[in-house]
Order: sequence, then structure tokens, then C-alpha cells
Amino acid sequence: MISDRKKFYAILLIFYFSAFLNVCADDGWVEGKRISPSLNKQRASNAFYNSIHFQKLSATRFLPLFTTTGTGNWTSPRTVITLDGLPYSGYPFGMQSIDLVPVDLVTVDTLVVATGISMLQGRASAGGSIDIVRSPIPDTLHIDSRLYTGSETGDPLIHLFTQPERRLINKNKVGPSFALAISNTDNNWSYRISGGGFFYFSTGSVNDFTISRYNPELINRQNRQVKVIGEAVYNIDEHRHVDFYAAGINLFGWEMSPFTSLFNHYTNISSTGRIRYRDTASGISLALVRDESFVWTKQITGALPGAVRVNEWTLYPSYNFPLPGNFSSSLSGNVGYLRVRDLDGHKPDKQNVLLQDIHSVIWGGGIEFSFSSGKLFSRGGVRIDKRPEQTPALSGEFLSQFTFSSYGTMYASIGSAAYQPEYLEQFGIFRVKRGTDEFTISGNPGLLVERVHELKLGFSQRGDNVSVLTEAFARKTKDQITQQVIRSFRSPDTRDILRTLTYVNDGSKFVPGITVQIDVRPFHFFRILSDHQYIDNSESQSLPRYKNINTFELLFPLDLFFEISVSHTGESFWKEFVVDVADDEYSGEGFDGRIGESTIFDITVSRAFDKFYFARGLEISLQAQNLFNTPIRRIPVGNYIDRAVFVYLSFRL
Amino acid sequence: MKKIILIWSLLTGMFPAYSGEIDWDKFSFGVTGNYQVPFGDLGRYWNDSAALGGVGRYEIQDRVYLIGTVTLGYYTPRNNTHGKEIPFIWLVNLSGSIQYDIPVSSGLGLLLGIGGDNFTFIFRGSAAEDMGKNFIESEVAIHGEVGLRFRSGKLPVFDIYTRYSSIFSYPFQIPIWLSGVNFYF
Repeated sequence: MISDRKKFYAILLIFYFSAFLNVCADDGWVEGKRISPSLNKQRASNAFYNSIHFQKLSATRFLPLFTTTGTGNWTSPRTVITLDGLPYSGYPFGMQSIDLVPVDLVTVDTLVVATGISMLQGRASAGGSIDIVRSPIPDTLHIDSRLYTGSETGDPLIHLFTQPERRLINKNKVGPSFALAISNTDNNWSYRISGGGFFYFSTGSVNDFTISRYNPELINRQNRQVKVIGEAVYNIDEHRHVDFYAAGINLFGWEMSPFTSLFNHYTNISSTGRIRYRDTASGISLALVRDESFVWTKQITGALPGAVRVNEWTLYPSYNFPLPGNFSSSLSGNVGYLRVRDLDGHKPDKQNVLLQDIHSVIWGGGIEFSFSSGKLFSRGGVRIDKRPEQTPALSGEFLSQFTFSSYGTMYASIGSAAYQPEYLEQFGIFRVKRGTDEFTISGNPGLLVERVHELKLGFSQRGDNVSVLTEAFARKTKDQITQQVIRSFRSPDTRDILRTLTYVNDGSKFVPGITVQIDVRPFHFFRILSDHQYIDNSESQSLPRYKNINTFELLFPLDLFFEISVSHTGESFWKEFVVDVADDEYSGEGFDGRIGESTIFDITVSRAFDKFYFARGLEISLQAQNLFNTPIRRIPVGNYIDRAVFVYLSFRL
Repeated sequence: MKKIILIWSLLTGMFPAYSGEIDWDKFSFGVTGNYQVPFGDLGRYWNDSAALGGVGRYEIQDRVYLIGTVTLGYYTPRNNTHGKEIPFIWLVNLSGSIQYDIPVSSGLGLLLGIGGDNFTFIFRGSAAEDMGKNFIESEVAIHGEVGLRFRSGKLPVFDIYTRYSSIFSYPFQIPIWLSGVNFYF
């Protein structure tokens, strides 16, 4: 009998052997980062870049959705999201997502995804990074737009009144949604104004019952997101520029925060203001960033409403300086002030959502260097970061890349990064009652820094028609921050899982894995993208052992494009959500904490027109997500991905 | 889903990749009014309604038009609602279509069109009070239409038309038959 661990290492060896034989390369991989031009297209397909699962289109999403296991719809706080290289921090109640960054796809040029450890300006990342890179403002008047609307299921409409016995409550629907950007240049000034409105239900029809019991006033109210963005660039001369960026976003709707793992109805207003001076000749850059978020929760069954305000001011100086020979280097720093306040906790009819307010100076700094000579490229860096109520923590990374032929590259990286707990993990608190029982989710001010050590080895190889990226990685997490559950209970009246828990540091976890990404184009009109990941999850069972995504693209005459994507995810186990039989007052069966294997089919059919009357770059597509409506969840509670069908249109005037 | 596929097929399959610049002379605007006869539960529990609004059109090719309309109608409950509490409805219809004008004579054209609609239902009255903040509902529909276009030379150009719209509602669909007139200035 061969153990799973032996199978894993056998597969790893086979992949590496095959990687040596196939001399080809992945074209989107640059210095340990994945840059794909298709990331900023809304397509009904999935992909993952190492451990970051990425969904290009979902029923609720306006930018591609990235998730790491453990957070459902939300990106793990270990993954740092940056806007033009500077971190954004205005997320409501720990719901970190690139969807909640005040920027729209119509003005996004590229999304750069780095997996694992990386040293970023402003913060070390222990779980990858996603950089949203804006497109340059055009020299002439441009209007860019995208519009979409979609299907629904379980629609009550007038039948709320005419057929009350069929009364359904929430709906999985995408309402008419749009985004628009207008840009122009006038002498030294370039400017762009953009905005959008998006309407959707995100919870999935399976959660209708629970939501209907939480707040009947809002059961049928569609989620909405509205955003407004203003940008300007003042070109002082050829080398010196000043960027201005001001944006706001309003979210209103049912969501599940990863901190509470319960649905609530959120009203959120977030904003960012950014000014950056850059001198490309001298390598000096100075940025001032202010991110802010207000979030209000509604009263739900057994829980009072609450409100939090987060604001952060940060100054980011940096200096790129040349060194002799083939070396270059940069110094960067950040100093700022973080303030997190419980707005209503002192009021008798509201609830505390923070154990204490946070007023804290945050700072950090780092040095990076790189060396490039012929076939060898190396870079490395160290950072020190100080977050609220934590001691300063050191992180570092070193990557070396060797190009051994015109087709192939091999690389290795080693790093160690500190994840300093986010404010809810330290100071959050949430109470909910069922009858006389009270359940409390509590942060832990005594949390230690979580440390991730990582080793990666990879081959990136490119042929004329075949490209392969294979990567082996091993991550060891020390003092992992996790939830320690004291009691789990399933309520008969709302059917939800209620828990009393606190955040703790929970020993070390070792997760080795391999990723293989294959891109085959046997004919100019046919392409297969095949992504596979296998990990040894014996010490971290909430990560599925095996995931794969296969995407088939076909280009027909008249620029008709067809894509089908099939993604498969293995079983996972979540001990934090296990409910004993005795504590299940709804079904009496308990919950074993397992999510079974799942397969999801997504399709896109699109047609592009270079010019269509007054529109340029017109693309119209029909997209279906979860074609067969398989009930799929990423975590044991939270949103289901229902089937959704969209018509999507984008163009430039 | 089948209807969404149909809309998409019509939008993408019908057009070769024409190109051109905006010709503002090809825009016309006007007013529209129609009489709406609902079916399904909307017809069973609510009375017919009249609606008024605006219309705009753009001639993308000779005798091929893109049409956009917005109307507002008011639906009152029928006298016999079978004991059910039924609210009043303000119904906002946003509609977009592609229309072909087939010449019949020098002053008369036969109109054939297809398109999509957005219907926003705003529920009002005592029956809607317990809806809380859920009183607005937006729905997607597709439609087909036929009509006649009159170009007398003395009067403004006007159309009479009849349109059948089917609102996507699962599992029960809600068709509405609209008949009305457009005046272009």
C-alpha cells in the first residue's frame, strides 16, 4: 500500500522529469510574478496561480475574484492587495477583496499576481500579492464603458402577493450594471473620471431561509455597489510627474464577513486619496495615501447592529539608486498612523465590535537589490514592519533565475515573512444570542506574529505551441493564527452555525505542494490551458489536496470566440465548523465539517468588433457560470455559487 | 437562459462588423404612449394600464433603426383579488430594440422589431407596507414588435405599434402586450 505522501513525492518527481524533457515556457511569468493579459477580462472561467484561486467572473464581481482557502469570497489578509504598487486598506469589517478597492476594470491595465512571500513597498506579504495596475490616461478624449445584465433564479416578483405559498425571498440575480470612464489630456494635465453601479444578489438561493429569518425588512433587497473615481496626472517635465487619485465606493448588501462567519447586511463607504510625486531620472518617489472605511451592520436575529471606522494615513518615500556593475538597488519606507474606532459600542442598543479602539503609529522599511548578467537574474530584499500592538518583525526574500536556453528558465526562491494579525483578529468581538445562549467570537490581543517560511523551485519553459510552468513549493507556518472553537451549535430557527471562539496561535503547519500549468496551442484556433495543483494537506485539511482547472478556447471565423472551463476541487475538512449531533437542534444530524469534491463548468461565447459604428474595440459576450448549477461552496458556511448567465458588453468611444 | 442566449445571438449574429462615425442628423427624439395589457398573475390580479414616456431612435443603416424608450405606467389591483392583499404598482419600462422599416408606399412603412426590456416594479399601498425596503424590483424581458410608420410630410413622423414583452420570471412568466404610438420631432 503506497501512502499518500509517497504518491505525492512520486508525482512530484514525474512532473520534474517531464519538465526537463519539455523545453518550453510560460509567457506570463516574470521574475516570480504572474502577469496575464487576460486577467482583466471578465470571463466565466477559473484559474489559480499557485495557491491563489482566481475566478474571472462571478455573479457578484466587477473585477476578477481572487480567493485563498479559508475566506470564502474574500482574499486572505495574508495576501496584500496594492493599487499601483501601494497597499490599500479601506476594507469593511475584514472583507478584503479586490472588488472592494475603489477602481474599475475599465481603467485597469494589468493585474500582477505574485504567490507566496514577497517584499512590497509598505508591507511584507506572507501569502502573495495582487497589484492592480491602472492603464495610462490616453492623450485624446476617450470614453470606455462596460455593461452587463444577467439571469436569476427563485424570483418572487409579484408572486410575493399572488402566490404566497411559493414565497421565496432572496434571488440570485444580476441587475443591469455599468461602468464608464471619460479621459482626456490638456497640456500638462491628463485626467480621467470614472464610475459605475452594480446590482446583484450574492448569497446563493440555499441561504434564503437563514437570511429571511435574520432581517425580514431586507430579505429581498438587492445588493448594490456604486463607485466614483477621479484621477489626474500633472507632468512637470519629461521625468517628473505628480499623480492624484481620489475615489469612493459604497457597498450595500448581504455579505458574510470572514470574522463572524454569519451573514449580515452591510452598509459601507470607503474612500482613498493618493498623491504621488515621481522623478524617473533621479529615482525618487514620494507618496501620501489616506484610506478610510466606515461600515455599519444591521440588526439580525439575536445580534445588535454595530459600526466601525478605519482610517490610515501613510507616507511612502522610496529611492532607486544604481550600483556599480550589473547591480541596482532601492530603499523604501513607510510611516503612518492607523486608527480603528468602534463608532456605536457605547450605545445601549448597539453592540461592541472592538475590544478596544486602535490608535497606533505603523512603520516599516526595506532594501531591495537586483543583479542581472546574461542568463542570471537575482533579486532579494529584507524588510522590517511594525503593525499595531506588535513588535517589529523582519521579513526577507531571495530569488534567483537562470535562463538555460532560449526556451527555458529555472528559478528558486527562499523567504521568510511575518504576518502580523489584522485588527479584528486582535481586537474584534461579535456577540449573537439564540434563546438564552450567547455565542461570542473574540479576537485575541495577545496574538503573536505568524511566520511563514517558504521554498520554491520552478521551471518555466516555452515552445512554439506548448508552454509549461512547473513549480514545487514548501511552506512552513509557525504560530499560525487560527480560530479555536469552544462551542458550535446549529440553531433550529435560523439553521445557521453559531460558534463561540477566539483567535489563537496554533503550532506549526507544513504544506508542500506542486503546481503545473500547461498551455498548449496545437492549432491557431484552438488552445488548452491546464492548471493543476497537488498538495500534501495532512497538516492543513481545509486546503483541498487536489485542484485542477482546464480551459478550452476555440476561435471561429468572424472572430467568434468560445471558451469552456472545467474546474475540479477536492474534498476539504474544516474542524472549526464541526457541530456535534447533540448540538444540532435543527436536523439532529450534526455537521462533519467536510465539503465534498466539486466540479464546475463555465462557458463564454464572445464576439469582438474592431470598429462598430462609433464604438471601437466592441466586445459582446454571453457567459454562464456554474452551467449545471452544482451546489458549490468554498467554505462550509457562506455564499453558494449558483448558476448565473450574463450578457456582457464593453467598448470604447 | 434560452432567452438570454437568444438576445445574445441576435445582437452578435445579425450584424457584420459595420463601422462608421456618429451622425447626429440620424438621431430623432419624441414622445410615446401605450396601453398595456398584462397576462399571467399580473393580468389576473391587476387592471390594464396606460403608460407615457419618451422615445429616441438612431438610423444605423438605411431603414434600420436602434430604438430606445422609457415609459411610466400605473397598475391598480382588480376589484376581485380573491381575498389577497394586492399593492399598487408603478411600472417603469426601459426598452431597447432594433427595428426594420419595410417600405409599403411613399408615406408608409411596415415596422418589424425585436429587443430587450428592463421593467422596474415599484410596489406601493398598504399591501406593500410590510415589504420594508424591498418594494422595488427590477426585471429583464425580451420583446418582438410590429407596427406602421407614417410619413405624411405635414405631420411629424409617427408610428403605431404593438409589442409583446415576456418578463423572465421563474417558474411563472409574465407577458405584457403593449399597443401605442410614437411621435418623433
